[in-house]
Amino acid sequence: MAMPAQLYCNNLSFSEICAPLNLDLITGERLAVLVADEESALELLQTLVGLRPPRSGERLLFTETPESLAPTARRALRRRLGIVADKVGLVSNLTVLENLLLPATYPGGNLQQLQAAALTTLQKVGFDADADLRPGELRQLQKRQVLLARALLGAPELLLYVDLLTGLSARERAALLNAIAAVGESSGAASLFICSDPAQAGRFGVDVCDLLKGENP
Amino acid sequence: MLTAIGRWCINLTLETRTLLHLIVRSLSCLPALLPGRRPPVLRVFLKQIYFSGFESLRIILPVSLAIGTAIIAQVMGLMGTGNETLAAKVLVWAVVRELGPLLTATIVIARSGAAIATELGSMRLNGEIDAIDAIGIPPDEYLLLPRLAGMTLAMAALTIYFEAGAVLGGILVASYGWHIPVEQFFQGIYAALTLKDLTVSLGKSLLFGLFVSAICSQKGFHVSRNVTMIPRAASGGVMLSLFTVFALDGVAALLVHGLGSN
Repeated sequence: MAMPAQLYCNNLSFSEICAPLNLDLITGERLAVLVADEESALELLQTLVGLRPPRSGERLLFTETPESLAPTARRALRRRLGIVADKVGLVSNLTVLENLLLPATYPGGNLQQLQAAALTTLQKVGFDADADLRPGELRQLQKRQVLLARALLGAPELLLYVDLLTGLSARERAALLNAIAAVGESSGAASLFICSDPAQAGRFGVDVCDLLKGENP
Repeated sequence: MLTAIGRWCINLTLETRTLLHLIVRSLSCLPALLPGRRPPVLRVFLKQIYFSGFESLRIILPVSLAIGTAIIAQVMGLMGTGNETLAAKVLVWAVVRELGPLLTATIVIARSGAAIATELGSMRLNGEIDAIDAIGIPPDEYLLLPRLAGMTLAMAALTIYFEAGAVLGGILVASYGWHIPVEQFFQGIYAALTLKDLTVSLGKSLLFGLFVSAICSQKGFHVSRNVTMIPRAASGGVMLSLFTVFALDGVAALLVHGLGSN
């Protein structure tokens, strides 16, 4: 029996300047999508997670259409996702640790256990600063590491990365990609890298679909 | 002229409807504040009480002492000694019935109301509210509810402190300035203070807290993607909150002391 798609898109139109997206991403599968610009990348992310409706076409997230769900169910669906995107960033008035714990502790749960897990995850992604700092005090790489740790802490079934490597030095890019290789891949989640920079799209080591050229997997 | 008045009325109606909708939306999430239900919401709620309630005491207490002093000084200056009981009554009427809730609300608006509008506006501008929604957390429950509930309770507590501080200030100045026996002054306070006055004062402060927090949250939530909108949201929130508080106070005074006395 075929595995159900974590993310299914059929002629999904999300931007005026990009071709519609056709996609069938199953567990463990990894793929990169190249879009026109940062705005298109954000539009695609928002469309995929149900923050905005598709312009046309169909999109199923864990076999569900987010728009057809009640708000509570829609948010429960989003909690199965891990999002690593500057535009879906950290809450500025919370510390790094509080940011990590926010989605994890929201439904309740053992705070001490989650706190220990959060600190371990931070270590695994290579975060070397104080967990009591606020996002405004972090470097770009550290912010992405915290975003990655927050995403991984929720044991996501689908990881969505947006412009992950933009604005980082070669050394920082390597550090982040190593962290993803070590932690992200072992999670077994499907991964979609949304990228607006052609120079970065090839660095993820996965197939790239250039939506500007109308390519689809 | 008529067009302008009509437009103002329509805008006011629409804004009131949006505000009431926001209050209902937030209060419908109230169970999230129960212990163990939503720990992060409870944490924001406690932070809001600390910021709006506890930290404002440093401003509220000196102001209340000064107001009590000023009222007693004016009354004693007008009536001279021999009317101590009446002076105490005037102090209680002025402070508990009007000045306590009103001045506390004014201070809280200037301090916490502006802060709420600025903070939420900045979060909206930076995409943090969308981010919270995207990671599966309802913004109404996590951002609005604790601010509304926290500020409402803080306003009520601060009003009580303000009234107690003003009465204390009055007692001190009457006692040291005019050598009025404290017992005599207290008799006047007991004679003037009724349960109805206290209930109305507390009710008004709760209402002011609810509306001020809702107005400032709404202004912050509706900042568009432009940085100049943040100061506009803050000043808009402060001005509309002041207008609402004075309007509500007028309506409450009319209902309780005006129409009710006939």
